Amino acid sequence: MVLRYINLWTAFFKNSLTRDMEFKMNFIGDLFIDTIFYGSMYFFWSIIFSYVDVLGDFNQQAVIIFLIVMYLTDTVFVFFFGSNTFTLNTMVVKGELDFVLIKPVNSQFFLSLRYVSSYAIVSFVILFFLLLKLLYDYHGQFYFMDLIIFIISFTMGILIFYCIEFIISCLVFWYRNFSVGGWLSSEMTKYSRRPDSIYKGKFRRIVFSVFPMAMITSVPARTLIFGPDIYLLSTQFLVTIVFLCLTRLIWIRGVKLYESASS
Amino acid sequence: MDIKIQNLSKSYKIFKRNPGLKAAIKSFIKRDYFLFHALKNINLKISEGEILGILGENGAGKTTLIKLIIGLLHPTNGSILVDKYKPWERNHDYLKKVSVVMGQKNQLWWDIPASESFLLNKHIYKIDDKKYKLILDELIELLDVKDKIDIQVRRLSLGERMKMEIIASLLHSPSIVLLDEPTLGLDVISQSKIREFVKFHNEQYNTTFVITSHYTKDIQEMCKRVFVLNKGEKIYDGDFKELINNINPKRKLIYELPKNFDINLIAKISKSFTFELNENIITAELPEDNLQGLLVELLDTTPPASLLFEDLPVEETMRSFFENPNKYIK
Repeated sequence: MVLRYINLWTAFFKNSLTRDMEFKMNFIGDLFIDTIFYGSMYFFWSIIFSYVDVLGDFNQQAVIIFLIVMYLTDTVFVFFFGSNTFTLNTMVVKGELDFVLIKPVNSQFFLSLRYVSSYAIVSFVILFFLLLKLLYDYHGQFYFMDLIIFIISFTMGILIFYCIEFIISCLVFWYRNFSVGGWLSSEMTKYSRRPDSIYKGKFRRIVFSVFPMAMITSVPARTLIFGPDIYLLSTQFLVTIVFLCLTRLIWIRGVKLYESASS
Repeated sequence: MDIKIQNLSKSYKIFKRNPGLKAAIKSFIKRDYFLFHALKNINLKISEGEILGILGENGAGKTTLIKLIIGLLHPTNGSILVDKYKPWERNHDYLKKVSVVMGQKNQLWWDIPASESFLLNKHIYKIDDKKYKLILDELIELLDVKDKIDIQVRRLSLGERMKMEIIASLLHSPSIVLLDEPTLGLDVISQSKIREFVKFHNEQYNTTFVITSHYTKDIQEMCKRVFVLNKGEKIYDGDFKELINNINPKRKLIYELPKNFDINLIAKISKSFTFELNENIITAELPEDNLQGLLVELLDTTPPASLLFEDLPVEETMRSFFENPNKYIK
């Protein structure tokens, strides 16, 4: 079963790559937009650190590592899911979900992964090597165990990110048209783009639990910067499982309400 | 695989509002919902290898029925059983045995050649390389699109795109194919090609086809049996020719008399039968029995220079049927 879905994803990847290469300028344009986005975030934090030396327990070097982890999260999310989940609204409104539902594969898998944003590979490779260099500069050596735990935590962060985006997209089944979903998830995601140290009190507890934005980037970044925190990692694992189950439940319920817009 | 539909109903909860800003604000605060019955108590059995035509006006419930059979919609009441499968459960084994082509929706990726989408379907349906090549080659040959499969879908004509959609839907050799308006917007040649293809595929592989079409000619040429829907209800299920005969039992006879025919003999026949005489050509539109009687009389009196029987246009017949279906259905 797992092998079947890996093969299927590989077919999606090849198909998407073929499509992306049809339009050279889109390919280059996406890379350009990513660079602008990364640059603007770096610029924002540079301004902050021109006034302060530390943000909670994050110093400037730690924040830069956090930023790279955030960019990596964004890149990997875009690579796998980015062009899929947010199109759900249009697909439901126009009845284009039909051809997803009638294929003999898991429909959630098909919808979530059918288009792979292949251009994100370039950003990923650059960011990954940059992260390794920054880590070496920060610690003076590599902690390989931390890196492995980081990869696991990073994967869970991506899954939480996906779950939140996906759940918001699925609201279209109940509201018939939920075009504000894209904006809503974009606004919510902003809370994952800041080091968790800036959140205090109740809100801090919220971003580590029911609204798990700190779980997306901060927990993996903390693993690299301060070493693994068993409490945070196990909470992240629990949140990932709960959100994945919730996603599945919402998808199954939502699809039952699908009315397949008229021919 | 037989399709058994029992007491099937499908309703949608729809809200309605009057036009204008005031009504829009009122509707924003409180919506008036009503239940729209797309299908009411449908009973239908489709046997394996059959080509069934579903006829009906816009909004009659044809597409809803197709979507229920393929499993896109859940029935409100009643059941559908295809072999041992309930379509709405979307069992993967079931989905491998059925396929749908929707005239107004695309399953092919727009920006890349159709061949790439076929390749993706090969992986989705787990078709092995040898079988894939064999089926694809045959479909390409039959639909005559060899030089088109490597061109981006967006650059193809409507007819070519429809042929590609049909190929994509048949690659996995489904037992049941649902065609929803497959010839919509196509030119006469493309329509004809698709009709021939459907008949061939049905004969060759015993594939069950369920077809909806606004073009009665599609149904006339492809389907022996039709299922007619009117406002979500079944109004006819049976032989298409019989239905046409019930609605309009007349046929047309064009009888060319020799140049030196005897007008008195023809005048005598005209007392028993209604027809028009234009120079030496008799044209009569009569029920089959009367037409036979007229023909016998004519042949007895004056042998023809030529004669021709014509069926009256089916499109017009069906139009008059849908204007007042109760008049023709007992």
